[in-house]
Amino acid sequence: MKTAVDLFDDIDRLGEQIVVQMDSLEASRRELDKVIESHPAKDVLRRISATLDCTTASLRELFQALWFRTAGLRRLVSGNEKTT
Amino acid sequence: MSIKILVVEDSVETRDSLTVLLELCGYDVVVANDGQQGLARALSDAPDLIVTDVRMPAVNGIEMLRELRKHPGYRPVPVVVVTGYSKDYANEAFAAGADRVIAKPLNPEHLLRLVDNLLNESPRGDLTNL
Repeated sequence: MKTAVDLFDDIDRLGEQIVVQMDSLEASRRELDKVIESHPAKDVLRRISATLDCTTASLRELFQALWFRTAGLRRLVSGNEKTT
Repeated sequence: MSIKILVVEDSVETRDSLTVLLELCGYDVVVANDGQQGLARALSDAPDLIVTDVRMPAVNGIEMLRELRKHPGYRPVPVVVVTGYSKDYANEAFAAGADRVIAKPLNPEHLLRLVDNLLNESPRGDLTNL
């Protein structure tokens, strides 16, 4: 059976995977930006790219807050010990 | 004597959760909602370390650092710049006086280690024995 420590370690591991996926999403958007200017529908594509940028930033912000809260919970569960 | 960290962040969620985490680790935390407030807090509260976002209303994190460095009453302390945006702010941030520039989302354990390391490297490192 998993312990609380195991579950928090799982959260950190999943978090690292989410970071990789977000970075991948961001890299794809940058690639898109490189070809937008030569595309006939560049105005529309620019708007889509800007929306993607904004949405990715919001996701990063929300996930960061969630991860910080989880780390806070980890400390509460482990008896408020300083573990760094 | 406790160690004081200034958190400058416009996102309520991130600011609150980072504050709770740092407090649980034994730090005193003062907060600011934007760079303008951060500038005032950095001068009035004399923090031992600053964690700041970049994109914020009014005065952004990099502008805040530039202003701080120019201010005669400012005592330089380690600064961690955290950004969730794609634009590469690193060069600007380092030029403005940042010690570390990191991207969101960041593993909180890594941030805490970074904070510990920076405090240990700073002249007031002897204060990090919480």
